[in-house]
Amino acid sequence: MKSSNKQLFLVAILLISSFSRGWSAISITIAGVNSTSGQILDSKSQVVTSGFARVGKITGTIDLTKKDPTFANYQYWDSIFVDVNDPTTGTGTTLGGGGTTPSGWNFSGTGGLSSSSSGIASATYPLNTQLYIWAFKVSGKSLTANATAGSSSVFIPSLDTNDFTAGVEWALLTADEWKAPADLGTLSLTISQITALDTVQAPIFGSDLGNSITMIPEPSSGLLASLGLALVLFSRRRKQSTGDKELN
Amino acid sequence: MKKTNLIAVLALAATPAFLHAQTTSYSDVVGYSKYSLSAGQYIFSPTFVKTSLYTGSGTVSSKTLAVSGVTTSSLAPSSFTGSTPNYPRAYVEILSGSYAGVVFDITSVSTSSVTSADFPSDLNGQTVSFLIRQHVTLGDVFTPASGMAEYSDAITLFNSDGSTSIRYLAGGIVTTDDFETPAGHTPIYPGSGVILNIGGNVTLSLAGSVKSTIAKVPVYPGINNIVGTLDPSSGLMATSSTLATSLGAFTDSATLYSNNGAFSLQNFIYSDGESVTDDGFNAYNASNSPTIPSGAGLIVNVPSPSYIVLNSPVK
Repeated sequence: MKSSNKQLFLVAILLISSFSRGWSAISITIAGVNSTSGQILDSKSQVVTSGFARVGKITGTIDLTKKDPTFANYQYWDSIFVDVNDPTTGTGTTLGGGGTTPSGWNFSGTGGLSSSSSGIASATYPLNTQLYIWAFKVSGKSLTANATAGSSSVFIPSLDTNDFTAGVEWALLTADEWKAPADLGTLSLTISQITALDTVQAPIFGSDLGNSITMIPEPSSGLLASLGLALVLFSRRRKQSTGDKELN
Repeated sequence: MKKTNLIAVLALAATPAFLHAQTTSYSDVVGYSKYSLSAGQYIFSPTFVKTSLYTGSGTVSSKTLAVSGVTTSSLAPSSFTGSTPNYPRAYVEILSGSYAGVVFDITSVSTSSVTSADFPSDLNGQTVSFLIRQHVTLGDVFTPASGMAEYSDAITLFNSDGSTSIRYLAGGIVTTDDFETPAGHTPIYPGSGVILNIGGNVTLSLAGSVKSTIAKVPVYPGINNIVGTLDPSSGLMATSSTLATSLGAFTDSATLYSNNGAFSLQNFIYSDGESVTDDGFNAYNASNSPTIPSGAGLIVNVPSPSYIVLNSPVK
């Protein structure tokens, strides 16, 4: 066989054999089920029973001025957050890792997050890619479960202004350990791994509560809480001064 | 991966397993191994099997083999209700004929027989020598392991149907990835393995029987098949293995990754029909042959279902 023909033959064979290779993919689990693994709680440290978590990488600037859950800030983060379970191809969608969408990434009645997305393209999330959880407390919105990797459909709901009017809390989290594994591997995003000692920005939005994390409240409720506290303090000062006058 | 001990490998008097008397005494070679792993990603393939519970011969009739003198209830598949998955607990290993080395899950039992729905049709009516073993399970390997971090160290299995099963330790037991549902009874088929992702030092201590007959490990198209060596005592050179004839010439591939935690690609292994080769189809020789360490394994990819044959390490 001529050398050039042999080379073509070998290339053809390698192409054929490459098609028989399994999917080059990784899996990612969220471990946020109890006080031992850590949980994502709401701003009042209560379990979250409505909402969902997104997992992915960030392709833009981490801007801490955009930490409050507002629709404008949501649009910013949504534009740079690449989800592990968004389709890998198609138009009009956010191209992601093509992984499956587990129902366990919706907050359950017990407030836990668990289960895994599999079939995540390792080319999109190569080894040591920093990974993030973006968790939402929101009513009426949830991930649509899908066990098919590589689907071209979108299973992550979009939030709109009505959601933020009704009230959204969120947390954007990461940890030193949350780095994509090698091809074929599985990474657990364990909430208790988030510590103030992390070298990455951890948590980004949210408060560390020992093993668990609390979300950032909607800005209007925070403002009302501040106003309420100011009112109480003002009222106490008025009573004190009135009492002083009475004593006098 | 550091294998630190191979203690108390006892070669008991072993008689060939294919004698036809149902009361044939069959003694396994038993052993013990410790694998010390540092943080990272590994292919881990158990190197021992469980002691044979029954050895005999019989004629396959309607996918059923008659047995006697064994408690068949312990061989039936698990029967959990609710969300706990069910798995086969034991298997028939054929010892003679064209299916020698192939294992078939026991899918039902009676007091005097075992049935495998997986028996191929051409086994029906055949008289075969066989033995029965219980599966090595994830609980056998990982519950007694030291250093496994609950909720974070992951065990990944690639199933023959293309699905992926992910297991963790939580509350002292192996669970599914909801960290609640018990899954320690998930079997690791002989010669197969798992992907292990660990965040710190882990020690796996294995004990059991060394397989003294060949194993035929099924491999399926479209998935990443994990194939080990079933050799607890030493690594297996590709040139000393059966890969040259087990792998389909030019089409099937085996990939060896490093077993130091980095999981970096080390070698491609192909076959040209006569020899194991690299991906340029240059034959490996004794001086450059990849070696699959004990406890490690290969990722095998094939375009059609077949078997990888593993010879017994017992000489």
